[in-house]
This record gives sequence, structure tokens and C-alpha cells, in this order.
Amino acid sequence: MASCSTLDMLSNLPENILENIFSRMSMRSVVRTSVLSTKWRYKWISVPHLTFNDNCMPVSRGHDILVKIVNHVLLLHRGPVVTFRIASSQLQTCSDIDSWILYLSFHSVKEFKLQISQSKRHNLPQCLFSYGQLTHLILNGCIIVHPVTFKGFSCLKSLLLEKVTLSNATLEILVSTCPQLERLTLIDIDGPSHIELNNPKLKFLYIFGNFIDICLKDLSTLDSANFCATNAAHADQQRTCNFTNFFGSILSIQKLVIRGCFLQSLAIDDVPRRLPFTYDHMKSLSFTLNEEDMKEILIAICLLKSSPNLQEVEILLWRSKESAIVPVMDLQEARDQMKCTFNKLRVVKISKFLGREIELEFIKFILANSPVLETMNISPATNGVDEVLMLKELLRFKRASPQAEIVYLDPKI
Amino acid sequence: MSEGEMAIIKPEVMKSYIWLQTADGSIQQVEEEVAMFCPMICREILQTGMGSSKNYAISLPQKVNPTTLSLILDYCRFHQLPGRSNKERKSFDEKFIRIDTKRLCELTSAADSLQLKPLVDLTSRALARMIEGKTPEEIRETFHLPDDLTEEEKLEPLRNTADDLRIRLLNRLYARKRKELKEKQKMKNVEVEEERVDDRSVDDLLSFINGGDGGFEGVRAPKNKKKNQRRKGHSKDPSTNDVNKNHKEMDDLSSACCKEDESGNVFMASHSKAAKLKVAVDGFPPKVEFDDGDIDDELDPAMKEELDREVEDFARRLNSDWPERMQEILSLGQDRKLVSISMNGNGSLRRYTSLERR
Repeated sequence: MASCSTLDMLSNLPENILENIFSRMSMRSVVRTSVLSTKWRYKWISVPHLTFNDNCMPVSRGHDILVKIVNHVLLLHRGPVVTFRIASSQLQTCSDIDSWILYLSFHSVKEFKLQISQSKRHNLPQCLFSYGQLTHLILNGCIIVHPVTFKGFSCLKSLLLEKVTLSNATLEILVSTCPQLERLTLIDIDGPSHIELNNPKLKFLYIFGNFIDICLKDLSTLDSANFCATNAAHADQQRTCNFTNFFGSILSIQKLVIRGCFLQSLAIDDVPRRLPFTYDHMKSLSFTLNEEDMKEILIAICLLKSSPNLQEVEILLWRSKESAIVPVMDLQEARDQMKCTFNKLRVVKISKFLGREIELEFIKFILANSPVLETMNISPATNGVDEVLMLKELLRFKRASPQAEIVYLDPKI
Repeated sequence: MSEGEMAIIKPEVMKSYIWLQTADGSIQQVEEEVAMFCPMICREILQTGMGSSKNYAISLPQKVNPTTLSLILDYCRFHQLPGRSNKERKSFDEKFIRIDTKRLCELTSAADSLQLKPLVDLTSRALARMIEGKTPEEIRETFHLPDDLTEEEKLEPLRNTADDLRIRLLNRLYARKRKELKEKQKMKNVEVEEERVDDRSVDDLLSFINGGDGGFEGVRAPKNKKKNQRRKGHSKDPSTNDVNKNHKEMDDLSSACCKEDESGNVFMASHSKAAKLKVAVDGFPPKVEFDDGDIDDELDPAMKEELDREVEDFARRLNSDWPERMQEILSLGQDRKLVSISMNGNGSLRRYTSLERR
């Protein structure tokens, strides 16, 4: 129909616009355009971003169909592949994955993500290490062995390893040979017991899992760090980095989150009364604290004192006498240390509050020394709280900030 | 003129305008700061000094026609003001792209040729939203795309791979049908036709599968392995001339059916139960070498049950009609009209088209 052809403007749009449009659609919709009309049959094959996940793949059909579809798409594809992401819950380890990685090594891939959700991890082929243009790498459920000739990913900006198995040496070389690395995330990795980080451009660090001895060397650009150790360091575990060195390497940090047994692992060392430096840029601090452990309490106070420009603080309390390195006997030492002012502190959040002496001391300390405090949120532990008694105490505390509000959150049922 | 009057005139004179010429020759003038928002126009002004008067109007790329230009200038006029909040900009954008698809595409093209990236991104986002998640029919309607692919082509290429299991089933059923018919033929004491290898690729056979939730549920892998082995022994006999004509028609029919959506499915489904069907057909399709060793492996019991039921149902229906219909088809002679038998989603027959012509 003549009218049809003059109305159809979409098919005649230039390629760069079509690419722009395709980049905003799911893989499934992109491929389905091949059945729209004769002109559209092969418009999609040069789309440079390939993403296969549960949203666009038939989950019910299982692994074989998934593999077939990916094979088919790669076979029809023309042109560079800038992004390749496959993260389907159906994907299992198989030799096809190796073929894909090999195929992509000729296509200057910049972003590569492989996620195997099944329990058997996939042995990564060594051709992955030849991806010279790689800027983003995400590996989940793989076994990584680096080739001896590996010189590093010179363009790599972001590295995420989750549930991977690799040796100390492999992790070392992966991390240390990437000068452009800005983001590093390690979640539940098996194998390494030690890591040394001195990437000059590192901005974001997230380490979660078994305790790894982390050695930081002057990460002056680090903005945000997140450490969570799901189990404490063994007493005899080799540790090359002590408390002062560790905290001394991240001076420009803005946001620090410490969870699990991490603080405790650091507390094994001697804790100075005062750190020889201050975190002038630290805006947000969040940590878990074992209130039965004197050493951890002292570290917490030390950290707070070293962050004069702190704006937000969050303390998650827990109690364990067994895990305590130095059990709490007398709080006087802690009280003596609680001397400083938080000139910029606005929001404080305390969780799992029980109303015990040390907790009240902390709150008293913060309230009395925070002239611009706006909100103190207290979230109680689910049981064991003598609310009336505790609230009576809280009412009495002096507040440096006239607009400070104490918000007592109802316990979650 | 007095000083006061001069003061009043001044503001208007001070504002400078840029002259733009579209491909059709018409010339517009527009405020300078609005025009400068477009990188391409901005560059033209700075590099060549054009645009300051009517005679030296900047010629815009061909893709920019007057209506599109006014739209673009509206966009520029709004966004070049630095005082707008993000919320204001967003709501302007939302309203701005509510135009018909033809104009939206023209706008995208024009914005691209003027290198106005924010507008290109905005319009591309809008277009992507219109395509994402819609069925092909809906998309064709929205954008007035011609529906000029054949049914075959529509079912290629990716849908094949997604329906591997069904394809294999289909092949087997088809092969089974041929064998059944051959048996019948033999039992009538007619010489078996010459061996003809079915060189149609698997892809052709695949092509009638509807990948979505098409009506292929009515197929069941038959369980008569023993019969196969028996037939294989007889497979290599030559054919006769008698049968050839019928055979050819049968073949045409078969191939025709194969090329249609689900029609082949239906066809095959019925013949999968050939043992139970009393099909009186004179012709029979060529022999196919087929290894049925691995038929039933992939079907799970639930699916088998369902397929069983569907096939039974269909077989019953077809049984009553089939002999008459076959005769009719064969009597159509060399007429190779495609038979369109389509089946809707739940497996029941919708219509016989050419067959109903009496």
C-alpha cells in the first residue's frame, strides 16, 4: 500500500538511531523485531549489546534451550559485541560456554558477565584473559586459573567476583595488574586468604565472605568501602596488615561500612588510643559492634573520634561473650575515651538496642557532643527491652543540639 | 526621537535572530539562544558566520522539514533556559513525545542530523517503549509496517531452536504417517513406489511450528517401535506408475500442509495414531529413512498424557471426515492451491478453507 510505505518512517531510520532504540529494549524484543517485515529481518543482528537473563529467556525450558538460543544468536550476529551478559538461573557448566568466550575474544568485548547459578562451577577457559578491551568483568560460579603469560587487563575498571574459586596468586595478579581499576567487589570467594590492594584509582571496595587478610596500600582515591567478614580470623591466621596500617591507607574515604566479624578481626591487634590521622572526608560510618568486647568498643570510639566531619552514623549492636577478645569488665576506660565533638553529625541510627549501660553511654556521648544533630533513631531488639526504664534514662540525657529528635522505632514483630 | 522613546525601542533591537533555511526553501528566523542550543547550528554560526541575515540563512539538513523544525525549536526554547527544574523538564519531555509515530520518527531523524543528542535520546526512549513487549501485530499497526513476510519466514529462524523437541516429534509423526500409508498400500497388493528420499531439510519441516504457545500440544510421540523395525525391512522397494499420480498429489498436499502453521501439526497428529485410524488413502508419501530410536525420551509423563488426549480427540474428529476430504483433495487434480488449515491455541480446528469449496 502506498499510504503504508509513506507512513512507515521507522524502518528508514538511520542505523545509529536504531542502535540507540535497540539498546533500550530487552534482548527478547530486539530479536522479535526480525518478524516484523522484510526490512526488519536482519536489522537486529548488529546490535552490540547482548544480554541473556531470566527476563528474556524461557526459564521453563531449561539449560539446553538456553544454550541453543545463545548459539543461534551468536551465529547470526554481525559486527562488534560490546557487551555480553549471560545470567540465567538455568545455565549450567558446559563446553558451549567456552565456545562463546572464544568467539567473543575476536569481538573486542568491553563488558562481560557470566553467571552460573548451579552448584557446579565452570572452569573458565584461558582465552578470557585475552580480552584486551575489557572494562567491566563479572564472574559468578566459576573456577579461575590464570595463564602464565597473563599481563593484566589494562582497561579494566570494574571487577566483580562472586562464588568463584581461585588461588591466591590468581587473585593477586588479577587485581594488581589492572591499573585502571575503580571498583572491586569480592563476594564469597574460595581460596584466597590474603589480598593486597594498591590500585591507584580504586574508588569502591566491597569484600564479603570468609575473612581475608586485606592489606591496603595507600588507596588515596577510595571513596566507599564495605567490609563484611562472615567469620572471624583465626587466632593463628597470618595477618600482614595491622589496625593502624589498614585504617591509615584509606584516608580519603567518604563512606565506610563494616559488618560481621570484621571489626573483631581488626581488634586482635593493639588498638591505639588515638589514630595518628583523621578521616576528614568521612561522611557516613556504619558498623556492627559486639558490646561485650572491650576492644571493639575502644576501636569504635577511636574511629568516631578520628572522623570530625561525620554526618551519619549507624551502629548495629550484638552481644557475644564467647567471641569477645577482651570481655567488658569496667566501662571507665571507654568513658575516658569518649571526648570529642561531632560538628557535622546529623543522623544517628542504633539497632538492636537493649538499654544496657554501654549502649546508653554511647548515646549519651553522641547526644552531648553533636550540636547539629537532627535525628537519633533507636530501634530496639525484639525482646528483653525494659522500655519504660530505658526511656526514662534517655529523657535525662543532655542534648547539645536543640533540634535533636529521639525517634524510638517500634520493634519489628 | 526623544530619549524615552529610544529606551522603549531598544530591548527589541538588542535581541538577535538567526535565520534558518529548510530543504524545501522556506526560511525561518529564530532567537539566537534557542538556535544555539543545537550543536550543529551553533557550529555553523561560529565557524562560518552564517545565519545573521535572510540572505545568508543556514541551510539545515534535508531531514529537517518545517513542521519538525518548529517542534525542535520548541524543545530548544524550553530547555535552553537554565532556570528550569528537573521535574519541569521531565514533564515537558513526557508531553512533548506524545505525537503520532510518523512524526516521532521524523523528529528523531531530524534531531540526529542536527546532533541534538538529548532529543535523540528522548525520542529513542519513547520509540523503544512503544516496541518493547508488544506483539509483532501490534508493532506493525503502531508503526504502519507492511506485513510482507511469508508465514514461513515468520517462523524462522529463532523459533526453531526454541522448539526442538516439538520438531523432532513432528518429524517422527510424519515419518510414521508415511510408513502407515505404505503399509496400507502394501496390504492392498499394490507395488510399492520407487524409493524417494525426502530431501527436505529439517528446517523446512520446522517452519510450520508456531513458537509461542501454538497448538502443538495435540501431538504425541507414538509408541510403536516394533512396527518401525518391521517396516524398515521393506523400505527399499520400487514404485509403480499407477500410484504415482496419487502419490504426487498426496505429496503436494503433504508439502502444502507442512508449510502452513499448525496445519501440518494437525495432519501429523492424526496420523500418529494411524494404527487406530482407518484412513483410506490411495497415495502415500515417499519413504523416509528414520531412526526412531530416541523418540520418547524427552517427553515427560504429564505432557504425554496431555498429548495422548489431544490426539485421541482429534483423531476421532478427523476419522469421520478424512476419507471424503482426501478424495476431494486428490480430485482437485494438478491444482496446487495451498490448503490452509489452521488451528487455534487450544488445539481445536478452526477452519478448512479450500477444502470447503465444493
